[in-house]
Amino acid sequence: MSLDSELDQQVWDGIQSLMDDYAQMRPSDKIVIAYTSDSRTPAAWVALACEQRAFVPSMVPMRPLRDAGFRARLAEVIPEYPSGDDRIMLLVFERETMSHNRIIKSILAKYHPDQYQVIRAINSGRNLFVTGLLMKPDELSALNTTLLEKCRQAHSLRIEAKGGTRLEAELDNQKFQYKSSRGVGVPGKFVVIPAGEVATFPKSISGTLVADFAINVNILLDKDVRLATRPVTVEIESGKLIDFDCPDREMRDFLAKCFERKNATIVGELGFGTNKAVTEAVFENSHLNKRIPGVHLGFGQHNQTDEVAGYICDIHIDLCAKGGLIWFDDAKDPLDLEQLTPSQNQHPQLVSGEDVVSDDAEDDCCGILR
Amino acid sequence: MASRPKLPEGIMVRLRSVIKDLEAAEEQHLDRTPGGEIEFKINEAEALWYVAYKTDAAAS
Repeated sequence: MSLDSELDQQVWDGIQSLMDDYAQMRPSDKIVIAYTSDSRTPAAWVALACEQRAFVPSMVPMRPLRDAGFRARLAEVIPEYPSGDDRIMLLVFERETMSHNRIIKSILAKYHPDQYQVIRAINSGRNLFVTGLLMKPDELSALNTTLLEKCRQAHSLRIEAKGGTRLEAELDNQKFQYKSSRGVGVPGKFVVIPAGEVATFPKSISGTLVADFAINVNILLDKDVRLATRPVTVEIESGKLIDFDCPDREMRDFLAKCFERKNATIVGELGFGTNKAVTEAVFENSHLNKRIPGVHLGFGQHNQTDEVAGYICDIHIDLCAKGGLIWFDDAKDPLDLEQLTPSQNQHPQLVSGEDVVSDDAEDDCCGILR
Repeated sequence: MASRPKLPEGIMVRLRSVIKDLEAAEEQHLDRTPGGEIEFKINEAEALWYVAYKTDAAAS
């Protein structure tokens, strides 16, 4: 299938969801689309959809990670002074990276947080639009709220999944903040898509994780990441991987190499996917796979500040299991991650969200945005 | 999603035109800009099929 023939009604629907439900575009918005070359086609799809609504988006190409000219290129299309009710709507599309965060922040710093919205897409492509944007932010928000209400009151968790996962975790909700990826625009914060996850840093965790859905790694990986036919079994003791196995030699060797990195065996993230639209793992290395309703552990880089977590790591390896039951403290009945009931309450204000410095913290489940 | 607008007919022609324009803009801007390579290998001595990328945080 050629790149432009990938644009079909399903993709188009996803783009409309991005514009209506996620960005909540207004006629007076000034649309800016920044993109890396690997996401040129998805960026063009969105530009076309904007044109259909009489927007005239400014297109800003960028190189991933390092681009000496990006600041000037972006600044050129961002008005020096905001006027009236106009809002800057910056949509950033990348496939593998999330680049130039500080540059974007510094350029938008002259605006009041109500006067701009930044939506950052990773793994930009057909699956993002067809699957990743199917659930609306308010739906994700309600599911995340259900989880947060339980987790933030709990001291300990017992987690089981059909694939064989058996974990026991302790939480320190005073020390470790939660991340809630829900696609909701909050003034001053960046939205990261695809969304649908609640995550924190476990005070301690031990047991067995059987990752039978997929891996997601913050490295370039041109391999099938699906694990249904070759689950990864990990033994964890006191928050550290002590052993792992996988029937697939290539996957086992790859993970062994990842876990050799300094601090990569530390469980830096206890995550629960909440995006019900994700039912089948996608082939490619993608955040979509960790949004599956289920439990996942992120090894290596954490989702806290370095000071709080007490270490840094240059790799983050998510191992994702499908589904999961969570028992909170001494509760007799578990919460079924595949059968979450949306909360009717407001999504709680997260501690990280009150920190004006970490203005993108709410959505960054993997700790890769700084 | 039922009320979403239909994919406009003939949009592929316009898509190809937009992509062509983007390619031209990239050629004009990016080719003159140093940096931007994703160059950090997780282990340079090992097989080349996986390559680590660095985030802004790590690069600064």
